[in-house]
Formats: sequence, C-alpha cells, structure tokens
Amino acid sequence: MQPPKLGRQTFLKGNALSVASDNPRYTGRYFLILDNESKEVMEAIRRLEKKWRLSVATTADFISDPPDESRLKDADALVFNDLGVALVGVDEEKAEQIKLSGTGFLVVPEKVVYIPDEVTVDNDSNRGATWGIEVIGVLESPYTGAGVKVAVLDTGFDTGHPDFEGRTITTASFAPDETIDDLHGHGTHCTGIACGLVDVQGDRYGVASGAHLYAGKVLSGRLGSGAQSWILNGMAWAARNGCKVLSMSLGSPVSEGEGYDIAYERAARFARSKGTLTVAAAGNDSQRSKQRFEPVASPADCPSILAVGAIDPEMQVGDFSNRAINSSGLVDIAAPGVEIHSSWLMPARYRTLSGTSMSTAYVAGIAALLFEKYPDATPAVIETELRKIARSLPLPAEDVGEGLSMAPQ
Amino acid sequence: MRQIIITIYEIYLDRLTIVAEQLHREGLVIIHVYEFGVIIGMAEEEAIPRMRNHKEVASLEEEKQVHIPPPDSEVQ
Repeated sequence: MQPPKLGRQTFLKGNALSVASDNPRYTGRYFLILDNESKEVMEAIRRLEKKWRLSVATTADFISDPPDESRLKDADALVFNDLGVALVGVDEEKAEQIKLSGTGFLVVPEKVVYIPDEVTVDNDSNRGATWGIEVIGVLESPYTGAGVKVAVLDTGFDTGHPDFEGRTITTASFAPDETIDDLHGHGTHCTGIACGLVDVQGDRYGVASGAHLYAGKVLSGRLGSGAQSWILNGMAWAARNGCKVLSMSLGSPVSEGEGYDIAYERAARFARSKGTLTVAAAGNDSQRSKQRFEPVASPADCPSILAVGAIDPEMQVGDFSNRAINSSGLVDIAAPGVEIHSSWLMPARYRTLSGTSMSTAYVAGIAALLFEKYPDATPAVIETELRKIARSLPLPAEDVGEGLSMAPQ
Repeated sequence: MRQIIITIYEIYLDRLTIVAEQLHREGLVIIHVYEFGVIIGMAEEEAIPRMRNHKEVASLEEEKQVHIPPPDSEVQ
C-alpha cells in the first residue's frame, strides 16, 4: 500500500486551497465505497484484482491483529470487509478511471485527520488588543453589534466612564433604594468586555462596541449581593424591552445532584419567547489544581440558559472554572476568562480580572455580533450558529462545551 | 415571614391570577406576579405547607440570595 502522501495535490479542487497552509485535506489515496450490500465484497475484490490489476489485502487477513498498514507494503488496496469499503493506493489517473467506469464504486479521497489547531497567544505581538479580543477573532469581524440591545444584569455600571462617552445606554436598578451606580466594579468590568471598545491607549478590550447597552443593577452595594427576585425583575425587563442578548455574570453554587431552579428556567424561556438569548457564568467554585471540580452554578445550569466556562491564554481550562457534573448543568461554550483587562470604576479606570464572569461577557458580545449579522434570527438560531462557529479545543466537553466561542466573520 | 418563590405549572398559566388570589387568601403577601408563572411573596412558616399542596404549584422555595466575590478578589 502506498503511504499517505501528505501535501500531495489530488484532482479535487478543494485540496488546492489548503496547499498554502501546509495542511492538505487529502492523503492522495482513495476510498472505494461499494454501492451494494457488503455481501458483494468478494466480487468487488475480484473486480479490483482483475479489471484494475490491483493487489488486494482484506481485513480478514488480520483476524487476530488489528489492521496495520505497515504490513501491506505490497498491496495496492485494503478492503474493509465489514464496512464494504476499500482503501486504494492508486494514482489520480487510475482513480479517475475507476470513478468513471461505473463499476459500482463511489470514489472519495481519503482525508487527512488533524488534531485541532493549537491556539496560543503570542504576548509579544501586540496587535492593539487584549489577548481575549484577539483570540476570539473580534479584530477580523466586520460586525460591531450595531443597534443590537444587550442587557448586562450585574452590580450596575459606571455611566460616567470616559470610554463609554457618547454611547447609547439605558439603565434600571432592581436593587431597592440604589441607583445604577456601580459600587463594586464587577458590572463595569463585564460591561466593558461585552460592549466596550478601546482603552485610553487605543487597545481594544470590548466586543460589541456598536451595541445599545441595557445596564440593569441586580446586585447591590459594595459587596455585590442580590435577591433572586431582583434578578427575575431584571430578566423580565430585558426581555420586555427587546434586548436580544441577556448576560448574567452571576450565580449561586449548586450541589452535586441538585436540579436547576425552575423559576429561573421559566424566566429564561419567557425571554426566549420575546427573542432574547440568555448567557450566564458556569461559576468559579472549582480548584482544578487541587482536583476539586464543582458543578455548573445556578442559573447557568438551566436548560434555556447558555453556560460559559473559562479558558486561559494557554488555551487551558481556568483553574476555577466549573464542570458539567449535574445532568442539566452542561457547559455550553467557553471564552477567555483569565487575566482579562477591561474597564473599572473611575478613577482606576481599568483592571485585570479572572473568572467565568469575564467569559460570559465575551459570549454576550459575540451573540450581539451574530444578531447584527442575522437580524431576523430567533435565539435558537443564534445559539446554533454560536455553537457552530465555536473553535474546537482538545479539551473535554464537560469543561468547555463546543469549545472557544468565536466572533462571526 | 419568609420570602418565597412559587412557580406554577405551565398548563395552569391561564389560571395564574386565580392561583395568586387563592394564595393571597391563604396568607401570602404578594410582591410580584410574573406572566411566565412565577409569584414572589412573603408568608408565615406555618402557611407554607398548604400553599405547596395546590395542584397548580410546581415548586415553592425560599428565595435565594446571589453573591459575587468582594471587589478586591482577583477571581470574579
């Protein structure tokens, strides 16, 4: 059997695209797939031998051992008896002939299989953006979330922050006797990631810079605590006001075996019915370095809410990031969540923080870009697209779901 | 008095107002009724078991508090 020739062109046009990237799609070998039932295998083998003068080995030759290509040096074809498929090492011309001969074979090129690309952040190449913004492809995206209403339910927002001068901002406080003023800083940080633009040096740190921000305060005081009813009030407010995205970088820890909170789920479904996609933080209760894994927090564990886990600059799971342990509490997607630079209360203006709160804000921003790209899409369609364009990571789905959330191009 | 969150089964959503009125008669001080079938209110401890027994009530729980780490924490 001829070895796979990585980097070799095939007659298929698709392969030409990948030559430049040194990652060819095809090996230069072909699979012949039998049109008929697999009982025709023996006949097919005879045809390969007679008509095309190929030396054929079959997986029946390997009854006691798994098939091993290195033992097939002299064969041109390996027939997988159970599958009704033959792998053949022939040149393009012959493959084309077999394809055109109408002898009951479907001819498809053998694909090269790669592990997902290593994504690392080159800290030396400052492209004028935070590592998170760079790695999720915001700089290449033509979208800004223009006109899309994005609700951030949090500790409030520093409406006087100079980075947000001139922006359209609607505010409401659901914390009794408090204004929208952010007394903690968390809300201003998360909002910066989801809806900010650039810092005073001109470095980009926010995703949906064209979005119409709806800042809702549901966590009060300097310590940032809230009642569930304030959060439900905020969710209903966002949904009724036509917000397309609802971001909740908050939560309560959940025990192993505990079900999701039905009141939050009902509120999230109501939001969906109004066209609002809800994302929430998977939670920071784990200590992976000490083998401690905690389940996705509430309300992120609700089926109608996307749970977001945290990724660090080396594309590893954040040490604190929670895991899918309970059956309803899956991690849906992941985003940068370690050492994230964003806006903070004045006069400090900026701060670097870690947590699934930050990751959630990135996904909220990306969802806003998608709603700009597909203005008539339902939350379900946007969720599907968000999952589809996520970048696969060589990490367990229980930690990162579909992988790294990416901005639409 | 305890602050509680009551969620009604979806099939009874059209009876939401009637259920809320019934709960009120049984001692629930209603704070908010959401159209998606959630009622927030306050009730005395001893009135709670009876409220939980209505066929329309899917869940009755004490209202949770949500906290985030203090501002000086590096992990948020």
